[in-house]
Amino acid sequence: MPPFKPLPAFSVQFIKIHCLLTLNREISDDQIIALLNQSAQQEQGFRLLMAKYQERLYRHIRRLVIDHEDANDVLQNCLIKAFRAIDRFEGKSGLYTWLYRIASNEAFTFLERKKRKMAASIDGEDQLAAANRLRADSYFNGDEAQALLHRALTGLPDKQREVFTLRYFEDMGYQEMSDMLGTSVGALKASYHHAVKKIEQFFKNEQIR
Amino acid sequence: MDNRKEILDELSGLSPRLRDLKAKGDGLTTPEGYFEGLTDQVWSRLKDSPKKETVVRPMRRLWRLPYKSGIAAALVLAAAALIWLNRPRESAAFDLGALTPQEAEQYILNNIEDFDLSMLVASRPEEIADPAGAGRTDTLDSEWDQLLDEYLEDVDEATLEQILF
Repeated sequence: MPPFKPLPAFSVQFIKIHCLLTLNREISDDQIIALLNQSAQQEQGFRLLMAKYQERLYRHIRRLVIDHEDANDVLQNCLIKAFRAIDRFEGKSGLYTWLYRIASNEAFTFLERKKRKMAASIDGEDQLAAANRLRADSYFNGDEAQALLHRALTGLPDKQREVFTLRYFEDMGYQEMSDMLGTSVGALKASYHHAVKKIEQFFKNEQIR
Repeated sequence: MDNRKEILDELSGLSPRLRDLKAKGDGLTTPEGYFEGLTDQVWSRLKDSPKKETVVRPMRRLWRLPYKSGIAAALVLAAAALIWLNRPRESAAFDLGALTPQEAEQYILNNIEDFDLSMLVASRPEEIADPAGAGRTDTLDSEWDQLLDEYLEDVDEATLEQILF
């Protein structure tokens, strides 16, 4: 019988994480943060954080920047920033709220930079560029109406776009949104209603054309 | 899914089109296996560039605080220098205008050596503004001519040539 060989440390960690996830055991944010704050356990903490939030964060970023490659870049930058700043996370908000804010900032900064690069500050041009990006993106399988909706979204002010995305695509309640964005429920309702009206008008205009 | 029902009800009033479209989702997909490989990808980036960006952040703060203060201080100093350089000064014309004829005469006699001919002429703005002298009755004329004569008598030929040519 061959002698017993201990598994490498990384494999043990991987198995642990895998077990936690496959057993569908809820890993608390506090546990993740505690691991991230210990240098020896950082990788484990990071892997747990990714397993818990990467998909949700990606979806949020993707809906803002639309293109998959752009979303991938923004998401990676967001995660790197979050990891490096984890010691400054005070726990005043939930971990996802904190990550979400970093992701939103990264996404809007990226879009602003891209807009400046393309020198397309007029809404119509933005929407046209968005439509072209969507057509070129092989990771979009929506129909014409869905493409039109994304085009309409690119023409909205950042705040309205963010509020609409959270409510329409992520089914978020106003109170939860208020806690996340630090904006009053009334203001969020107004933003959402304005956004819906503008999108509806955009659809009407496109039908007339 | 209470939120979902509430959102659909809300959309029924605002935009039935968007309510119907909501069921289709966003149409955005991801490459196969994208999330499986993402953690390793980001982790290797983190290991390859340790703490690179955290060095940048303090620099930004440095730029924001002391640099901004420095620029603000420099601007204040520059503004103060401009104000000081452009401060109102008492002009010769103002002094003479405020003087009585006797005081003016005394002043010129006391300081005649500091003046040259051009300054004497320049201190008579009426003549420059109205070289023809039409309708002017200046009480200082005779005294002025006398002072000019005295100056011309005292001045040597070389200086006079220098002034005139």
